[in-house]
Amino acid sequence: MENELQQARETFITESGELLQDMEDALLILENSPDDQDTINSLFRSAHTIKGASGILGLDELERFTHVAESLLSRVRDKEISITGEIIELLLVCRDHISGLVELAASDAAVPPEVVDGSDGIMKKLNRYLVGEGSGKKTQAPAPDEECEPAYAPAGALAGTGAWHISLRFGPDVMRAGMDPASFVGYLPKLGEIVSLTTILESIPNAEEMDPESCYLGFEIDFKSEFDKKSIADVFEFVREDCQITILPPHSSIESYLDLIESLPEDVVLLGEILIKGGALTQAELDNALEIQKAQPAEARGRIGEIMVGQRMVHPEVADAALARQKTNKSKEAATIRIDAAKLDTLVDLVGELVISSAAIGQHAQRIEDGSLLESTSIMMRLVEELRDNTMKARMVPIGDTFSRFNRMVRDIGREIGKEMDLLINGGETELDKTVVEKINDPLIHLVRNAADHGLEDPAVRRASGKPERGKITLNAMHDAGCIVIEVCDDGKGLDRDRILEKALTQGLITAGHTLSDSEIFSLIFEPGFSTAEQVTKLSGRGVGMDVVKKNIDALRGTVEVESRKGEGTTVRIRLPLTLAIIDGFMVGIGADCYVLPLDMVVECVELPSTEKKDKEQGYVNLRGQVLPYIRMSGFLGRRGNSGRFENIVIVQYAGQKVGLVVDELFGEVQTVIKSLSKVYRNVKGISGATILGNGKVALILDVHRLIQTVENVVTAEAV
Amino acid sequence: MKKAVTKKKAPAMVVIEGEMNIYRAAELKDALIAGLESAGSLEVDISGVEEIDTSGLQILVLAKLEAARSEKIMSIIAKSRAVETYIDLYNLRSFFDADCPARGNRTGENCHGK
Repeated sequence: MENELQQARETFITESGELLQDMEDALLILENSPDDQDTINSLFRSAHTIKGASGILGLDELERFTHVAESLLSRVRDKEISITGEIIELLLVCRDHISGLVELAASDAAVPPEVVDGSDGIMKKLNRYLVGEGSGKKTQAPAPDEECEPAYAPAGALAGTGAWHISLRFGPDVMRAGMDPASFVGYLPKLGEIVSLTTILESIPNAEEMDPESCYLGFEIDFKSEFDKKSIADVFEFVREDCQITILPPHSSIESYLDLIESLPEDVVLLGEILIKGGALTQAELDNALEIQKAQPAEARGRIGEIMVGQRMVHPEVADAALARQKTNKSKEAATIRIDAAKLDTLVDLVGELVISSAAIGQHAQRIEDGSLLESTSIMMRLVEELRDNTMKARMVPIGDTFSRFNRMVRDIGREIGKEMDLLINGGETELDKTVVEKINDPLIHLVRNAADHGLEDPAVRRASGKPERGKITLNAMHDAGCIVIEVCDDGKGLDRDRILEKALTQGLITAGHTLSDSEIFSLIFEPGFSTAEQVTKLSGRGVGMDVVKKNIDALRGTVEVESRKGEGTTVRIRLPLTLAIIDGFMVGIGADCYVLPLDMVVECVELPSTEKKDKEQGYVNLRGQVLPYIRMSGFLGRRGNSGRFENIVIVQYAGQKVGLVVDELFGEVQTVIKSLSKVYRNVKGISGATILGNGKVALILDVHRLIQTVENVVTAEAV
Repeated sequence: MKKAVTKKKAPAMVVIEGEMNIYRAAELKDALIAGLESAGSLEVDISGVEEIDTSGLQILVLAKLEAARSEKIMSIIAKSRAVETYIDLYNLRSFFDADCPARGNRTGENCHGK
């Protein structure tokens, strides 16, 4: 049971994370289009769901606070309060506070008094709106935590004219599932006033048959509330499936009450009495109706359910909403399941091992040269390949969620430093490995902050240089040759090439007299401790950050480069491998050893023209009219080549550059499970990892990016 | 007013302390039913109950119903705040107070209405 509660809590925490993100998005949308009723509704729903769930899970402080925030939202929804910048600001503060409280709940920590003070402070501000406009109809519901609840103003309007009737029969397993009916019933006073409550004990069997852990209780409740049917039904959201719940709105037709009485297991007379006591029906009405019902033929009675809507038992819009909601719930349930990331990791590991062993089987089969064995092996290999692809896909998540978090950040930074800026997001649907997404978040934060703080100029400066006052930061994501490319662009002042050079010289990062290309100069900003900012601001400029960005990206086997034009803006481009675990490889032989190149980076293979001398370590060839620099891998790796008559050039491409690698043998495509090399090999250039081949041998995976750099350096050095 | 209860034996007494929740539900049920069977009437002291949930309350209800079935009397002679809160929430005060044998006497203060 403890366990189940814990699970419910975990689900709640994950879900509130999503809801809070929704709230944030909604608030940011409202900032630009304050009349968007759909967004307001979704905002309210998010807050309402968090409040409801926290109440049931016994997270009192969270519930207390969210309740007041929700009250404000409900006012906004009902157009009693209009959305202003001030309200959005306040609601964002609320959102953050709720988020903090959820985190506290996640860590199971008690709520420290200063947080409670924080809640009180914000609630005071909220109440100003609530009391200010709602003083006309003060609350009169006897809720226990009254001081923070001028929010809803129930009763009054409906007093004397009728109450909701709620009929509950809890399922036998409710308590075993860790839920206490009392928490649902006890929650109702927060939505309104319980006029009468009768506990139905009739279902309790005699002592021998009674299971003390089963729930036999039912309730008939008359309830005054201004909330709509959906809100009241939501209270019982968590037990909806196990329980028989009927909610009749005020002034329901007598037939619907009769129908309720009929549908319940208890004695008709008893239920009738309860309804009379609660004021829903009068004795005369009941008698009369029962008479009529008896007189009616049985089949006509059977159709009572159909006319419920006609009889005002259910407001049609409520029914529609409930139906739509149920539908989306269903489709969501069917489409997704939550799974522990660790389980997925184990699966990926196993698939990796499977790939290796199936490669081994494939090699054996080839040696044995048994036709049918070869055939089944090839089918198996294909299946394993599909399995691998699908497993990897299961780990892929769109980067859009990570991106959209920056909306808020950019907005807040803009407020803080007095710059106006927009964030544009392109390619949010681009998918990449979950681990990569998680690890890329921090570097992106640094980069976006930098762009906002350093990149973009002050509005006055922008105006003077003929740019629109609002700065623009763009986040792009796209796939490119087995990598994902993420760009953080701004249309600001660009990097100051000369200042960077000067600073680098004084800091001794470079020595005078060196000629550096633009991209080399810009890469200097990734050196530890490097900062050209004249002013150290709260956000950035301390020279910490960019080197951390670089380190993090290196750790993901990615690269980062900077492009900048003075006065026009800066683009920081990050390239990351799609996944960290398995790649399609292209195996080549160099000397006696095998090496693997990532297949995505291999463009084509051509024969090395016999005009190129064998002892030449590097050079150029003419590839269909293009100059292609090449390097002889046997020499580069210090192996003795044993090529036959023909040598092959594998043409690889990375970040738009092509180079040729001369190898001795081509083996073709292999599935490669990347095993990282230990720390000892970390500084070995040109090798990014190793893999185990089917025959048990180790093949090194070549780091194409490094190789291209090296080839370029070597070739240029030679040319100079 | 004293109810006319002919006592053949002294009433059985069950004292429950601490938790009265689903974890102890089975044990408590057995204790109450056994107490009820052992004598013509049962007195329950739950003033020491610090925590109660619906299953705990349900067992008290069961004992009360069971007593009525076998024409015996079950009465709660003292109850803690926690229990009272629950009884009030479920509006069962009058249910438990019915046939209260010692009304106006020992349990007077616990038997008063809302």
